[in-house]
Amino acid sequence: MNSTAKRGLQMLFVVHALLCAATAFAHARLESQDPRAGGTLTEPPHVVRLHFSDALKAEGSHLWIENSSGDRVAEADALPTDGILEMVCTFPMKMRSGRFHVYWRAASTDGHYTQGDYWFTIQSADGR
Amino acid sequence: MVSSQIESRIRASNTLQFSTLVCFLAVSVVSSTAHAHGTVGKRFFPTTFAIEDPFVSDEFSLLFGFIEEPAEGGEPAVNESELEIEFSKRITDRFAISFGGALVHLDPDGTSSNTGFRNIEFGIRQQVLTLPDWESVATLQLGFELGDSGNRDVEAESFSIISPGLFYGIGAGRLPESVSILRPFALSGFVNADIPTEKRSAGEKTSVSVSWGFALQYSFEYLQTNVMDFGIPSPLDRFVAIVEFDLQDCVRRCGGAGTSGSVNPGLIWLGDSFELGLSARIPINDASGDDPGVFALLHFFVDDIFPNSLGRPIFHSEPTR
Repeated sequence: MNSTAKRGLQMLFVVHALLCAATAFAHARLESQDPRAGGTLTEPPHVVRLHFSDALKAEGSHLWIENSSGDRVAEADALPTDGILEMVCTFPMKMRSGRFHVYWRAASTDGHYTQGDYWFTIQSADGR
Repeated sequence: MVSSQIESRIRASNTLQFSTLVCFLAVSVVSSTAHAHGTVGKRFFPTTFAIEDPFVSDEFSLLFGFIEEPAEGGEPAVNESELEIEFSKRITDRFAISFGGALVHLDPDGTSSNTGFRNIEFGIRQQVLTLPDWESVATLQLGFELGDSGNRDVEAESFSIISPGLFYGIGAGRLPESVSILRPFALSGFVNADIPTEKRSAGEKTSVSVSWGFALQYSFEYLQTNVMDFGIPSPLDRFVAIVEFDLQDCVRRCGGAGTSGSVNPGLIWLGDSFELGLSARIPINDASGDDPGVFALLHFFVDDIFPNSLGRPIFHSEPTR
């Protein structure tokens, strides 16, 4: 292999490393959520599930739910380990209707934090 | 002769191997903690085209601009293409330095074209206000353009310019529920003075000007995740629609110059570690240009690419939020 080809290959290696790094270290963006932001359900969900673009750190990642009065009605257990892409919170089935406010904070494995919140509504069959 | 060529090749090869090693070390350092760029509370402020960021960060930016400057005072109209390069590095969590330059190609009507560098620019920035609950941020900047460091052929000035400025951003996330659809809006803006270090240059007066402007932006990612999930598919949910107003007013030793500037409607797409942007550049009056130009942006979030080395403040003190 001549020196030009070798240099080209090395440069390609460097660019590849940079691109890999770019992918590996991006902070956690919320990619999907269930129930959806602003959504209206007729039945309470079993769980609230948030899926992120990047692996989460157990320390610093939180998810909790408040009712329309601002009382905390559910909280996710701490993540069992680093590297998980989802946060899940069991929803109290006794809450048959109302507006619920989901708060989350995600610590990604690169150390960056993101946060957000959104509402969803449960409207029971009798319209309450 | 042959031996010196071989030595030179070995040296070049060693240099490249060394940079490869440095690169890999940079990406291989064990993760710890660092602040994310441009995020205030749940609001992310993207880097925009003509208006500087309202926050400090580690970033590398390439901005291409094209516009046709109008004929003025007997000078012909000029097609101006410019590639701006800027690198910003945080020294502490709230204090950063930056430097940049621009490669310019001027193509006047009826005469030969010129290519060269504008003057080198330096800046220091201090993020003075951060209110996560209000999605608000403000930064003070002191910029310095080093006179005579560029090419006169592309109108680089012989004098230096000092530019103190204020940059701000505020999100609409606290708007009431009844207008929640407006919460993805945010406003960023700036006001900046350009003060020459000399009152005259080449027999002509040097003017003092004030630049100001704002950018109104609407984030589809914010809409989807914080307000109402309309099911916009990826990657369309990562767009930010934006309109910038970028204006300059001459305030002293003007010689007849008035307000000039452009309105820049465009789109920005947010990747995980970079962003892309494209916007039109519409002159606000005859003094600002005849026809629309264009901006194209490629911006790297260095703190996401190298979160524990190059992208981390040199003196990192604040607890993560």
